[in-house]
Amino acid sequence: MDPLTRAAALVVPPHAPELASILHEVRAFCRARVDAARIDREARIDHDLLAAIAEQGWFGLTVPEAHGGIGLSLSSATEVIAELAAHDGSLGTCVGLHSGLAMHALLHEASPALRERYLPAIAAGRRVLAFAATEPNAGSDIASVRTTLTREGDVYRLRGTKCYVTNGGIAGLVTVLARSPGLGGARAGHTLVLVDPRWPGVQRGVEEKKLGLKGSSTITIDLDDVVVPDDHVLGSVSKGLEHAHHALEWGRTFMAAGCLGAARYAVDAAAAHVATRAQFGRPLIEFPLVRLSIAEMRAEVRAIERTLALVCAHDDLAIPSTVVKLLASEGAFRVVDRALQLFGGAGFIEDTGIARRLRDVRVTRIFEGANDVLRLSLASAALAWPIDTLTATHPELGATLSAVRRARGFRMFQDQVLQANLADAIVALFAATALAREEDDVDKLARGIQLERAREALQRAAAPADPEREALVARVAAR
Amino acid sequence: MIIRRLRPDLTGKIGDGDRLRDDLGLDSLHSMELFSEVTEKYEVDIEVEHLQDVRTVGDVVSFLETVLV
Ligand SMILES: Cc1cc2nc3c(=O)[nH]c(=O)nc-3n(C[C@H](O)[C@H](O)[C@H](O)COP(=O)(O)OP(=O)(O)OC[C@H]3O[C@@H](n4cnc5c(N)ncnc54)[C@H](O)[C@@H]3O)c2cc1C
Repeated sequence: MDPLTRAAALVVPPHAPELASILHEVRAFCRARVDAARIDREARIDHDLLAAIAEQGWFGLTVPEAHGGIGLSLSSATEVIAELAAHDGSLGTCVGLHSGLAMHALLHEASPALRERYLPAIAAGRRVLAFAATEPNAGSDIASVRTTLTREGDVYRLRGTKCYVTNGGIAGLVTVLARSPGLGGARAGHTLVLVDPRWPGVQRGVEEKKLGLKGSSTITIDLDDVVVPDDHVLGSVSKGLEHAHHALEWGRTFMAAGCLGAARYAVDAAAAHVATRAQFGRPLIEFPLVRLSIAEMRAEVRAIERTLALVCAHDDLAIPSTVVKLLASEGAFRVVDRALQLFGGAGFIEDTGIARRLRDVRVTRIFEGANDVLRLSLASAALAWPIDTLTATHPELGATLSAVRRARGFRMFQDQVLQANLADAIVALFAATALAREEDDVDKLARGIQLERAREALQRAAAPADPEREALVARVAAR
Repeated sequence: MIIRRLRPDLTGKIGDGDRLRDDLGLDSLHSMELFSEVTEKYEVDIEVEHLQDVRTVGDVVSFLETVLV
């Protein structure tokens, strides 16, 4: 079934009954215990706070109950991460990456014995998880990693350097992506392995100094001839890239939840501010431009909420997770930026807290797939997009998409600008589908905005090529 | 050849039996670009669904043979 029909047919399942009480506990805990300004200032989440979170069981959100976790569904777990992130981005990132990106291969690819061995300690927060794919020379082009897994005698050996490892400094287990040339009969295969940072040859670097998410640990890890036991290979030898892609799909869904939390916080803070701050003898909220801002911010948050809920109802997350990562990271950045604007000068001052939010949310457009690179991979969905379904509800959009497809077909993969425009259209159409029931005014406004974005993106995609302009761009870029 | 341009760091010979991902290290973005250039060069049109079975260099060649006859 095509993605849109599938999306429209999916029923968003209700949350687990225990979710409401967990969210209530998280909120109360964060209000009492989490000092986001201090985490930012000290550039660390202190050990006592991590221990208290472990005590609450929140490192076990996605660990099955049989292994001592809470065993939440994807949709419930991401709601908890959104709540944590609404209080502090670093905390949301730490627990979100642990529960999402870094947990996936252990849950789905590890042997039963390995799961049995580690999951209880992971759920209890005694072993925090990290995921190491990126290297100094391999970021977006993740297949080009140089860290190498070889077979020597009856053991595997791992050599290389991983950088920007989130949770690296506090991790008790790290999933590492390595090239494994020749292993499993694949010349250019990759393999995922689970590494205990206490093993000989594993060396952790110092904490990076970052623009935002300062409390979240980010380090380089050197792997110098690390002996990896056979049973610590996750999934199949030589299929590591596929496993890593699945982990990233899950991870991006959790990251979108973190963005949602930040955006929710920003809109609430801005709404409270403009209700009380008066200029020209009136509260700011009485000015039409301010009202427009607040309404559009609420609509943006709602689009992320509904899209995330719909994405979580999918089994195959490849396209949906890319959609929601793009929507949520771009949307959250815009919302936080608009909130800062509404705070005026105070927004620029650290004490207000919005400046920190802006710094924290910035990286979500970069990590777990830089947004431009994700747009390229999403563009192929435009070729398979259900024209009939689209034409039935929005004839004009259907006609434009079908014209682009006829004119460019498969050749669109040589035109990045076209691909990016098509990806933007896909994101907006997916969000509009998630909002289709228009349950209230916010949904209605949000859907209108998404359809407008889809229309604009498709019009850009359908615009005839302008070789003169392209040549001009090429000359200016080359200066 | 197109594959070498997409993956300049590739060493060794490219054979018919080489798998695009496992042996040549082409990810999905590379593969789309490869097919796009192949279709342009041979002036054929293809549907995304037809590409699901194309996994090796030999598959690309035989795929072209079927659409070009
Ligand atoms: C705070 C932080 C935490 C992180 N945590 C982790 C982690 O836990 N584990 C991990 O493995 N990695 C992690 N990363 C790494 C992150 O995933 C990478 O930074 C990201 O994938 C981008 O790779 P890069 O930095 O090498 O950028 P590059 O690949 O060099 O890309 C830079 C820019 O170039 C452009 N670009 C690149 N390729 C293309 C293309 N094909 N077409 C058009 N434009 C392109 C895009 O604009 C892109 O933003 C983290 C990074 C940060 C900053």
